[in-house]
Amino acid sequence: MKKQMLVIPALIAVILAISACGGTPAAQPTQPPAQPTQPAAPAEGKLAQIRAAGKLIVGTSADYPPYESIDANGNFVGFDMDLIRAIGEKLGVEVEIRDMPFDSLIASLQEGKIDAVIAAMQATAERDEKVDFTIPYRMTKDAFIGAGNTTIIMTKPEDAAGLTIGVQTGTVQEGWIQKNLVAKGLTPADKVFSYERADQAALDLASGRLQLVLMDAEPALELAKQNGLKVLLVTETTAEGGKSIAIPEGASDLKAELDRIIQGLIDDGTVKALEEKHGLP
Amino acid sequence: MTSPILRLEDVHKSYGALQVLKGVSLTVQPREVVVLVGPSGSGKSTLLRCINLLNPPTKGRIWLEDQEITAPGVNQDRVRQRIGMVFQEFNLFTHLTALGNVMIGLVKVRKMRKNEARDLAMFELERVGLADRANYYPAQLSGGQKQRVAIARALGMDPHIMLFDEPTSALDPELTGEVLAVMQKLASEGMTMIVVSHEMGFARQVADRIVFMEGGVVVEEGTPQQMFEQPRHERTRAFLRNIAQ
Amino acid sequence: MELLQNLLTTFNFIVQGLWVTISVTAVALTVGLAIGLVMAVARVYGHPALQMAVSAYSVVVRAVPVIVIIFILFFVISRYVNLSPFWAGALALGFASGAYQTEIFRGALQAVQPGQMIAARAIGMSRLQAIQSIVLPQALRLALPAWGNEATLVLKDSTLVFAVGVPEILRRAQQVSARTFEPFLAFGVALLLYLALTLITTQALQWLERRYRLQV
Repeated sequence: MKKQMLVIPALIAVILAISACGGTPAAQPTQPPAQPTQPAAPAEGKLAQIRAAGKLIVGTSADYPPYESIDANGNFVGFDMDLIRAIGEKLGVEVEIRDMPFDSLIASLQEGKIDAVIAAMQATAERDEKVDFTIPYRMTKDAFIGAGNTTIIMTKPEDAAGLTIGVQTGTVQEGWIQKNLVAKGLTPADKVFSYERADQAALDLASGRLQLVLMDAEPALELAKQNGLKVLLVTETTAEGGKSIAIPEGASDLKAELDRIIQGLIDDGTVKALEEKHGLP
Repeated sequence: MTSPILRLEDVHKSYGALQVLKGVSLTVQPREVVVLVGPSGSGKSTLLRCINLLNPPTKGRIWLEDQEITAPGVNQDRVRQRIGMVFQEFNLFTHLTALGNVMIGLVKVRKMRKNEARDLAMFELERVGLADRANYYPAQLSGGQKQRVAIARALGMDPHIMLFDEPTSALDPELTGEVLAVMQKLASEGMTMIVVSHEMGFARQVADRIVFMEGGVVVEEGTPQQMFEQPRHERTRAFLRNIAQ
Repeated sequence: MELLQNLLTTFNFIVQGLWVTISVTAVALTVGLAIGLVMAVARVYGHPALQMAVSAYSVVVRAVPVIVIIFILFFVISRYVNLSPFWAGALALGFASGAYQTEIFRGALQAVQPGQMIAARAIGMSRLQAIQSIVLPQALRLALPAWGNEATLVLKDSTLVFAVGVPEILRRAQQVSARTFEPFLAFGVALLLYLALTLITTQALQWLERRYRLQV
């Protein structure tokens, strides 16, 4: 008992020592130590910083074809990848893409590890509290898919009520299921399964462990084609808005510039051409 | 009269409330062999550890040659170099060969070069008759051989005085002879020695003086002849008669 | 034939993560070794206040999932010090392994017989000399089996550094799996690579154990 009581002050001392260490001027001799509550780089003037560096560092989660994936030669390929390179060209900077887990993207952006995120990401209210979003570069549709031999027939999203369903964790689709089916008592909570990646859910669909998977329409079509699954319903009801690029909170100059470029790419047909290239509806 | 090599003045040692040494005074002359005897718990081993400062006395003073080694600020490591010690349990360094055991003090403490250290270590192993076991690990040696390596290790430091803490107690009877023979040879070469032992044959033959301790004090001391034949105290007589059997 | 071709492509892609996995593991083990040795000596022979600080480090770090330490190091510490994902991940893994290695070496130091220290002091060695030349060499030999186990655990924990974007074997397998929809092939290759690494590591350590076994 006595020993445990002694460990706590020691623990606090260790934590203080660690934070003190980080703040020593020796670590960054030319800059005053930043306040712990703020990101390393001020969001204001982000655009100027990127231009000065000549490089836009973009985070993605490269396991989501046809938006983003890695080809056999290790190159980042997909709709998002082509789009962000086109944006980089307009900005006049080089684009450096970094692969990381989807769940780490927002945190990396907040901490200034990356300048932007492009990962077929939607601007949910929850995410919007932490980071800012550009205008959507593509409006979203979702799809319900089932096994190839499924007998389920769907005409509206609510037809999923009571069925075993898989979603990708932390996604808009998961939120919709929780809010509209689980919270209303239409589907028991233990019939909803959250996966780290959508392709894992698709595998369980094929093996019969799930009856339905709800996910973004485009990768759903791809998955269905490759694995012999059946697309049951394509809908905008479960989707919110569209896919946007996430940027650091308060980076208003960067947002203005990106919004302008994205609108330009939509208007001049570049986005449309890319959609066709990657087989997106 | 030469000056004493070691002088203890009213040495006390306690562990908390337990008083182990209650005022021991003792003088040892150069080349003298002193055998400490007494029942277990009388403080003999503790006294040895006080002398080489492994467990410094809680009270009292000790002089080694001209230096008061219990004075504050004394470099205890330097003091221990001049005092060799041999343990009941040998305490050979298990990760080193016999040669390595003798060499390491020469290299690390006496700062000798490896070649020199190896030559001297071989010389010390020859002195205890174990040159042919130089590359054996402690686990490959018999108890008697281990203790002789331990003696060689202590001798390598060129000590001015040697302390032996029951050097044969952990040995099978047939192995004690080889260790006692080495000790006898050392004595004849003029090494100053304090030996805690129950080997009365050795005491009678080799000791210049026998010191009988009991209850943390020296009860009586004298030549082997005095002590064995005309002890003044009844306790001494009883103890020596007992142990002789 | 097509399967063989797929296997080859998949293998060639994933094997590029091998070097990352090996580097992360090597850095983490080395950092952990340095931390573990210093901390264990401080824990066994240090001032009581120091002993307590080491205990706190060991208890706290072992209580926290490694992934949390990686996040803290990457997202919090690197606000002040510019760390690449590789170094943040490898150092965090080493920092965590250090706590486990502290315990391994503490146990080994305490398993060395007290007589060894006493005998070393008796021939005039200082405390530090005795620790360096006598106690530590024996403790290292005693620690080897447990350390080998820790090495394989760190190898497996190296998959966690992908959380901050370091593309090691497992992540590369995920990328292939997402592209080809052949998870068995992708993760099978990853499995074989980890198996090979673990086997090589354990063989090397067993050789060390035999070579430096303490004769008792």
